[in-house]
Amino acid sequence: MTDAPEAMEARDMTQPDDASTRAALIERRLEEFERAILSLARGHFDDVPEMTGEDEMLDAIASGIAMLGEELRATTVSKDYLDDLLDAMLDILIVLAPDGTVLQANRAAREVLGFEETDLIGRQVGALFVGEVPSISPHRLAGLRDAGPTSDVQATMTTNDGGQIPVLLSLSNMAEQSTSELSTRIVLVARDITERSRAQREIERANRDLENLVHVLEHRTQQLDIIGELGEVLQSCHTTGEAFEVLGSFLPKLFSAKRGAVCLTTPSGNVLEAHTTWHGFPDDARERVFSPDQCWALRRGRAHFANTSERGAAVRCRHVDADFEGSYVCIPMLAQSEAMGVLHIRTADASEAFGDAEMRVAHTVTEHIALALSNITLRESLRSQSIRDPLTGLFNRRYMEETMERELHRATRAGGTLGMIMLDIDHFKSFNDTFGHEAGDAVLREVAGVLSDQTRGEDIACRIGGEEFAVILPDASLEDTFKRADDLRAKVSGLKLQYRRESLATVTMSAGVAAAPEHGKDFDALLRAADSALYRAKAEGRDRVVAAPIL
Amino acid sequence: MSLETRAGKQYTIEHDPAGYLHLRFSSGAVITMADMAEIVDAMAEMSGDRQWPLMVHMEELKSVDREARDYAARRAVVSAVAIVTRSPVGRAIGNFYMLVSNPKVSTKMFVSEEDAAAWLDGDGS
Repeated sequence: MTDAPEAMEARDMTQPDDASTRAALIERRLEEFERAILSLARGHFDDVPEMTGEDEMLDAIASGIAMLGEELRATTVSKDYLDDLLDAMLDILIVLAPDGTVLQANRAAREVLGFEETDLIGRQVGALFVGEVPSISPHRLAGLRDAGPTSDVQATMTTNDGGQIPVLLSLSNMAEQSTSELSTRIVLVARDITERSRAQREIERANRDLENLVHVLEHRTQQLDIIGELGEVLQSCHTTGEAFEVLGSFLPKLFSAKRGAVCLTTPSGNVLEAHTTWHGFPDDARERVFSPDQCWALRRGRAHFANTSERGAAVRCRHVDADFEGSYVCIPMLAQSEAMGVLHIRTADASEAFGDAEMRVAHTVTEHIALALSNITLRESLRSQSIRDPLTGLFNRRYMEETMERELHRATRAGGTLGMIMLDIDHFKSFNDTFGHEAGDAVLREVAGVLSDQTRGEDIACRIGGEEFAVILPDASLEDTFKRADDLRAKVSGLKLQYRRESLATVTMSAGVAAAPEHGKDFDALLRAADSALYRAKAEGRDRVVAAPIL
Repeated sequence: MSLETRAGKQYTIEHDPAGYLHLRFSSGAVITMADMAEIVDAMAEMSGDRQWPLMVHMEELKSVDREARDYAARRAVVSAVAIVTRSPVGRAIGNFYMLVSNPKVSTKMFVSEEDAAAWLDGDGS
């Protein structure tokens, strides 16, 4: 069997008539072939010899050269295509030798890094990065084939002009399945993530801003809840004392990082006094009691903010200690255009400076406090008017009746006692006639003063009409009541009375005492018994105390 | 005698009762990619479900372009290819085809049909 091309038998060629003609033909064709081969070497793939039919062997050579030309053209086209493809990539692509030497770089690598191709080729890849990048160390590059491709490695590349570009790296072997020299080469692809990094930072910043905003809103919502609750509780307070207790509980929650005080103007209007303070407000009396003139907020009728740590800061209120360094705000509490007091908040911590939101909260809270205190004061005033005698300030008969009922029930339930003293100024009518009604009123006020001063907090001193008074003594026995009545009588008779710098005559009092349960367990019985005793005291000569007889 | 024949302008394909196909080219045939696609399709049609061995007669062939050679080398519609040629041009084309195009199926070149047939009888091995 003949199976090798080398063993093939050549066919008969067209024979020229003579050897010289054939030699000339061969020479001419060989020159053509030489030109064609040189053209192919220069990349001119169309310049190929044609088959002429003059000689089969020469035609075979021409055919071979033509096919070689086609192959070269295809290879060149493929290479150009590949180069174009690599240059069209936006990512940096660098081909490395196993030792990290740059063998090839695409257009993006040259343009982004700012190097000419000749500057990049032959350079160590590590020199193109800032700092050490473990993934491109010689050791890791040598082991890449076994370890497999590496991707998504963040690194920073350095440009020819010293700039820095954050990139995302991937590394792989060029032809992992091949055993040729190409398989040892490494492809490094680096994606410029400058924009991505910037966008990432922007997103992170936006997220932080959003989180802060959410935190602020949550805090604000929490504060609004507290303010709402504070308003409700304040409206339920009956006395200013209760209101100050409530404020002492709520204000530290609202202004947790700051100290403060609620200062209320006294009825005289000349002094402000701190009633509620929080978080260690100074005990210094000058800070707790001061005149309206010492506060710029009250003088100007508007909030006054000052940062005493800053040069050229707003003027400091004189009620704020001269040594205090920090910022504070005084907000006047206005009701019906009248300044009831001032809310003072301060901080010595520069990081806790007053923000707009906190100032709004402070203003809102001040309005709540002013409104609530105004209402409470008004209610207290109305109640006082309804239960107090306007001339002496003692409780009136109506209040005495209400209180007696309550105190008697309590004494009965507890098995205790209750004393009652009925008092009457002796010869008051003739005193009035002698010195006039105004002097008489002055005497009534003096006697009332004795009753107020000489009674305990739980005792109730009343003016029940004209020159007649009563004192209710919870938990007092008949004996104690008698003794207290005699003490009062003695004090009154010892009064040195003056009216318009003129000495008045001495006044005396008569008193009748009774006690529950000895003289009854209801108001009428006790009143009748004490009144009868008073009548007897008058009848027996006045300026004395008589106890009701025990039946 | 062939069992079945397909013919184009530049080629003829015949079924040989011995169990293989003959591909013959017309005199001075210049085969392009389109021609080769037509030839391969015709052979696939004639082969049906099985792959037949192929004997290619290259005596009259003038040239086969690169795309056509690569296309023929990539398609495997026959089980083996025996190229028969005595002409220097056919030999040049055959050698180029085997060495450069690197055909998928077993391919060998012969100067006689007998030797080629014997090789194909052994399924090209």
